[in-house]
Amino acid sequence: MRGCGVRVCSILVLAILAAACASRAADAQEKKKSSGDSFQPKLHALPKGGPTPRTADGHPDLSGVWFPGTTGGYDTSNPPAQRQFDPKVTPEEKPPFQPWAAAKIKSMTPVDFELGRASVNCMPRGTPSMFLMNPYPTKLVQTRDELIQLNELNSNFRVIHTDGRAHTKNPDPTFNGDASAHWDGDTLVIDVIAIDERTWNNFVGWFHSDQEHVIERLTRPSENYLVYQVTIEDPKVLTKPWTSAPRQWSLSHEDLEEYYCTNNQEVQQYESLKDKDAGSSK
Amino acid sequence: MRHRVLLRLPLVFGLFMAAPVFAHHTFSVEYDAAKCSDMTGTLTKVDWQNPHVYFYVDLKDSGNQVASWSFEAVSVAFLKRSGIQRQDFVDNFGKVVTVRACLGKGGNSRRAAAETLKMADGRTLRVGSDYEHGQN
Repeated sequence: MRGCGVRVCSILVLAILAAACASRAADAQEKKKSSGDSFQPKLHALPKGGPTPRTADGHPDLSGVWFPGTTGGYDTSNPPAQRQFDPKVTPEEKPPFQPWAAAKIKSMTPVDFELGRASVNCMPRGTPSMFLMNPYPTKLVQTRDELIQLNELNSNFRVIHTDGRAHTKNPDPTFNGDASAHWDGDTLVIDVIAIDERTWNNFVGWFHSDQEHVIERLTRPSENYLVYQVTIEDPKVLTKPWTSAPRQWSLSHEDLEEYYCTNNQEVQQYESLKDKDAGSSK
Repeated sequence: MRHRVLLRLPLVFGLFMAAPVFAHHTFSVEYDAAKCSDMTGTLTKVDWQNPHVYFYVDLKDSGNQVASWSFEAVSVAFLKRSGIQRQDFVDNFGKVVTVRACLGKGGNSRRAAAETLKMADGRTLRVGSDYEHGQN
C-alpha cells in the first residue's frame, strides 16, 4: 500500500513536471510567434525577490548585474517599467541653479547640448551620471573592503574603498572622482570630490564646478532591487544641495557586453549642423 | 504601391519589438522624423561597432545611378538584446532589403537613421527607434 502511494506520487510529480515543461515550451513558441522575427519579450517589473543577500560581515551584498529600471533588462515597449523612478510617486526637484548658471544653460542651442554631452563625445559619464543617465547595465562586485563597479557603457570601471578611509590629499580631478565610502547601517555612503569638470549631471547642460561634492547612497532593499540616491552640492553653480529621487535598478543574470565607442560619427554631423546654422544666420 | 506600404506600417510596428529609446544622442537634432521613407536596395556591409551599428545599402537614384548609403542603427548591445545578431546582416549581403529610415538634417546626404530593416527572407528587424511615433 505504502509502495503504491510512492508510485502514485512519483507519477503525479512526473506528470506535473511534464505539464510544466510543455507549458513553458508553448509559452516560448507563443512569445516567438507573437513577436515576429526581431523580437524582444515583453518584460515586466521584477518582484521584490527574497531578502537582502548579505556578506559574511553582515553588510548587504550589492553584487550583481543591474539594469536601470525595474525589469532586469531592456524593454522599451513598457516605458513605465524601464523608468528609474516614477515622478508622480517620488517627484524630483529641478536643479537649483544660480542665475548665472541658469542663463548659461539657457543660451545653449540643441546642437550645443549634443556636443556637450559625454555620450556624444564617447567620454565617460563619470560620477554620478554613471547611475543617473546610463541606459546600460552596471555590474557591482563587492569584496570585504571594496566595491568594484564595471560599467558596460564605454567599458568603464571604478573601485571604491569601503573601509571608511579618508579622501586622498589634493586629489587630481578624474571622471569618477575621489571616493571615500563607509557603511551607515544597510546603506553604503560614497562621498565623492574632485570630479572632472567635463562631466554633466544631466543631458541638458548641467555642468558643474571644481567644488562639486557628491554623496551617493546605495542600498539593496531586497534580492532583486538596488536603490541609488544622490545629493549634489556645488556652491559655485547651485543655490542649495540637490537630492535625486531614489533610482531603482533591477537584477539581471546576463553578462555585460563589450562596449568601446570606436565608430562615433555624431560629432562630425553636429559640427556640420552648427556650421549650417551659423551660415544661415549670417 | 506607396499607400500599400504605409498601410502595412502599423502592422509592422505592432508586431515587432518596441524600439530602444536610449540613443546616445538626440535623434531630432540630427535627423528629420518628417522625412522618413522606405528605401530598397542591396545590402553590402555592416559595421558591427559602437556607439551605433552602421549598415550599407546600394540604392539607385532617379537617374538609375547606384550610390552607397549608410544607415545608423542602435548600439550592438541593444541589437543583441533584441535578438539580432551580426550574422543576420552577413547572411543578407548581396541581397535586396528594404530599410525604413529618416533622412539627416545636414552633413552627409547619403546617411539616414534606420527604423526597421526588411530582409530578403521577409523578416523585418527593428534596428532603430520608432522615430516617426515620437521615440528618440
